[in-house]
Amino acid sequence: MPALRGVRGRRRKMAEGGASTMDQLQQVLEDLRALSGEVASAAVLSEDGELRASTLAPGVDQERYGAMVAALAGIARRVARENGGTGFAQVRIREEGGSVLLVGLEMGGTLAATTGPDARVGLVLYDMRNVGKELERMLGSEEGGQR
Amino acid sequence: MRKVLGRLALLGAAAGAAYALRSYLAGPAGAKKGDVLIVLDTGATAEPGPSEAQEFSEIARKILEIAG
Repeated sequence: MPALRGVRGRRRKMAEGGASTMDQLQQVLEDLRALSGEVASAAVLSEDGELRASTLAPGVDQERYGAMVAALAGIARRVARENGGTGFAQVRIREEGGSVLLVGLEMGGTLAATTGPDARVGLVLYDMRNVGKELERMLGSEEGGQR
Repeated sequence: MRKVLGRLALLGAAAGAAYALRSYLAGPAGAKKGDVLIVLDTGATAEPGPSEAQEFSEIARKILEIAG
């Protein structure tokens, strides 16, 4: 996947250049949109539900969007616990206007994306899982660096 | 013959009324809800209960609205 290779190259350069993790997360999300043209918006949330980065257009209420995604992730975790799991791997919610997709990251983070109504959701989730690994590495190294 | 036709007409009217009643009752409450599927970290899949599905659906609609 050339786009993912690009992400890795950029990540290395950014780490060398001391770019912030937020910029790197933002770049990975932009790459996800480029990789999967059906992704309308994407965002990554930390374990505590804080919106770390998103591809939302300026003027969009990012705080509200983040709170809604955090609420979805919270309900999904509750359902997972009720069904014998400890968390969720992925969630798909299909509505008339499109789909909302969540991928659970290690250490409790969440990658969220929205698509249009006719998107091939399976493919988008596949790309999200691949990008999720990249995000986990970034968030993991950030957490390791803070210790 | 007239009696049979009369009965057939009555039967048709009853079937039509039943269909109309069913469509009416299936109105807003029976509208297609959001399709929610959760894959757990164990690999198992779970579908939330009706109240949770409703919650998922409402929040998802708002997210889609915000995201445009």
